[in-house]
Amino acid sequence: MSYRKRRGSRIRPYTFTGGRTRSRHPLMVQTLVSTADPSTDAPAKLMPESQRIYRLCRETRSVAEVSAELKIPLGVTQVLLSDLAELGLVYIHPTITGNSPSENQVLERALRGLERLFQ
Amino acid sequence: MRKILIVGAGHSGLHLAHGLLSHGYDVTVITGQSSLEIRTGRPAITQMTFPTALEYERELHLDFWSGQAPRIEEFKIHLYPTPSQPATLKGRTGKGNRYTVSIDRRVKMADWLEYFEDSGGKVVIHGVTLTDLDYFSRMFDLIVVAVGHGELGALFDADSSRFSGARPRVVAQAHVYDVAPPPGESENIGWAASTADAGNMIFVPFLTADGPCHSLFLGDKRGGPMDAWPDRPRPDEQWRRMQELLRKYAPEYFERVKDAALIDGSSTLVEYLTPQVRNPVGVLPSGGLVLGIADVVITMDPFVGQGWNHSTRCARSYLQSIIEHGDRPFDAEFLAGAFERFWEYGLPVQRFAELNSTLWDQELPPHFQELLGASAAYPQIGDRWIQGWDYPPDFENWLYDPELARAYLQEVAAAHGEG
Amino acid sequence: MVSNDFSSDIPTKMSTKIVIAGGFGAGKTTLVGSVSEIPAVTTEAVMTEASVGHDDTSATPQKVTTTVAMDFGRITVDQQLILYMFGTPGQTRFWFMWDDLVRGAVGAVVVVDCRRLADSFEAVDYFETNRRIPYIVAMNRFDGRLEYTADQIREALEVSASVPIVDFDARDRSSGGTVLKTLLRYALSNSPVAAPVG
Repeated sequence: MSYRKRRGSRIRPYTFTGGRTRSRHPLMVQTLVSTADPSTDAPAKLMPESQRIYRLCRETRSVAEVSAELKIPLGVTQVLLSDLAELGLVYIHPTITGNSPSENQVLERALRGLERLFQ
Repeated sequence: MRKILIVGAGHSGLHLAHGLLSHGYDVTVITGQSSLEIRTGRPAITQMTFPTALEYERELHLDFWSGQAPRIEEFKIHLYPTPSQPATLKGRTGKGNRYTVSIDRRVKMADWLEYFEDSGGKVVIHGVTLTDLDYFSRMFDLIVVAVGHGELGALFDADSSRFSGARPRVVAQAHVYDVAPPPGESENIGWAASTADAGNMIFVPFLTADGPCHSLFLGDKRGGPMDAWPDRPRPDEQWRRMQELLRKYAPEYFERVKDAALIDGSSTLVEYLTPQVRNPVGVLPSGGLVLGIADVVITMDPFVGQGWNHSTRCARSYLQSIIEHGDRPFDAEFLAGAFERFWEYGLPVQRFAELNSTLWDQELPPHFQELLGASAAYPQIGDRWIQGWDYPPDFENWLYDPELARAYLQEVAAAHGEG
Repeated sequence: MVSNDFSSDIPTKMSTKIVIAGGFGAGKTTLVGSVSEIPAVTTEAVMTEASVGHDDTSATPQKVTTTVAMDFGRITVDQQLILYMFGTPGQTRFWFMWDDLVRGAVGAVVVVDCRRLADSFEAVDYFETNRRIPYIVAMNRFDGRLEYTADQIREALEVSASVPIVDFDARDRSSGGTVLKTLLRYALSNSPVAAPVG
C-alpha cells in the first residue's frame, strides 16, 4: 500500500493550529494609516524618518502617499510604519480587498459612489 | 537591541530569522510573498532535512511536521553504468532512531513565516528594490540578503576562484500518488540513482499540504537525454515523459511509478540552473554592505540534494558569528569572515558535489567498487555512505582517497574479526 | 478586517485599490490622471539587474541599474472610503513590483492601445495566468476610432470569454469612470460566495 489520495489527509497549516498571524492583513500600498493620537508629539527616540511619518499621518493617508510625500522608498515606508504600528503610535485602517462576502457591501458602496461621481 | 533585516523568506533566511529572534535580536523579514501566496504558489525543487538539520530545527521549535511526514529511515543508491546492471548500496539515514524527512517548501516556508511573526518577529510583505536597500543600510545594524533570484541576486558577483565547475543543469520534478512499494523493502526508504547515460534521480516519500506522497526528481546536464522539456509540456505530458525516461535509464524506478499519478495540476516543475559560487558581500550604490546567505552565494548542484542542509548549516554558522560578534559593528571584515567560517563546511560539500557531478567522466575508481562490494557484507559501510549526506565533510575521511578507503575497509573487516 | 486592536474613538476610514496595467504608452497614466481627484503621483525605484543575455552561463554579468516608475491617483468615494488607482511599471520584467501592486486589489484594468496590441500581451497573460483578481480589458480610442472589434482583441490577446472588453477614451474623465464602474460591477458579479480558507 502506498501513499494515495485520501479525504482528510490534508495537513493543517500553522494558521489553523494556533497561529494568529498579522501578515495576513499586511500593510499594502493603498492601506490608510493615521497617527493614533494626533494631539501628542512624536516620541523623541524615533528615527527622523519615523518622526516625519508620525507628523504627516496626523491626517489619514495611504502608504503610497506617505512614501511619495516624504520621498522615502515604498519598502522602507512599510517597514517604518509597521514599527510605528507595533509601538501603538500609528493606526492601520482596514483595507478592502473583495476577498470575502462581508466586503461586498463596501464594494457596492464604492460602485454607487462612482456612479454618483461619473454620471 | 541590535536591529537585523533579513530580505527574503526562504529556508536559510527564515532559519536565521528564528535563530536571531530566539537570542533577543530585533529582527525584520521583508519578503515579496505573503504566507498565503507561498502556500498557493508554485512548487520548488524537493529538498531533504537530514537528521542533524532536523535537530537544529527542533532546537528552534521549527519542526512542525515530522509527526505527519513519512520518515525516511533508509536510502538506497543505484549506480547505473548501463541501464540493465545497477550496482546498489543501502544505508540508514541516521544513527539510532534518527531519520530524514522531506517537506513541501510551500508548507514549510509559509508556516515558518507565520510562526516567526507570531513569535514577535516583524514581517513586511513587499518586493525590495535597490532604493529600499540603500535606505535600510542606514536603519539596520546588519542586512542579510536571502533571496537569490531576481534583481538582488545581481548584487553578488560570481567568484570563480572558489569553484569553477559551473555546469548548466535541468531539473524536472513531479509529486505523485500510488507508487508501488519497493520490492522487499520498507516504504520508509528513499531512492537515489546516478546514471552514466543520463543524469540523476532522487525519489523520496514526501509531505505536501495534501498529505504524504512521493516526490520524483530527474536532473541532467542541459541538453542531456533527460532535458526533454524544451516545449514546456503540460503537467500530464511532462509526467508521461518522465516515466518514459525512467523506463529507458532506470528500469527499477519505472516499475515503481508506472501506475502512479500526479497529485494535482500544480505539482510539476522544470527548472534550469547553473551551479555557482558568488562573492558573499554585496556593495550598495551608497557604499552600504549586505551579506548574502546560502543559495544567494552558493548555487548547489541539484544532483546532491544538499540545498536545505546547506542553508540550515549556513544560517546556523552565521547565527554563531553574529552572536559572538557582540556589539561591534558588522563591517566588511565581519561579513567576509562570517562567510569564510561557513566555507570551512561549504568547501568540502562542493568537493562532494563535484565528485557526484563528474562520477561517470571516467571509469568508477577501483576503491569505489571495493567499497560497494564490501557494503553487502558490512552494512556499516552503507550506513556511513548514506549518513555522509547529513555531513558531507566526512567523505574526506574515507571515500575519495584510495588509501583512506582501503584503510577503512580493513578497519571494518577487523572489527568483524576478519582482518 | 481591522488589523489593529485600537480603541474605537479613532474615526476609521477604509481604502481599496484598482490596478491599471497595460503596455508602455497605452494610456495607463492618462487614465489614472483623468479620473483622479489629485494630479497623478509618480514614484520611482532603482533596480539592479544583471545584463546577461538569455544564456545565464556567461561568467561575469555586467551590473546595470534601471529606474522603474509607477503612478497612482485617488478618488474619495464617500467620507469613509477611498479608492486608489495604481498604474503598473511599463517594464514587465519586474514582476515582483506587479505582485506588490496587485496584492489586495479588487480588480485590474488592462489598457490596450489598438495600434500596438502586442505591447499588452504580457499584461493580459499576467492576469490570465495568476487569476488572483478579476480584470477587464479597456481599448483606448486614441483618435476616436477603433481598428479592431472586441472579438478580434479577445482572440489576439487570448482573453478568456468571461472577461469584459470595453472601449473608452483615456483622456475623457467620464469615459474613464465608466471603465472603473464596469470593473467594479464585474468584480462584484465574480465575488466569492463563501469565506476563503487559509
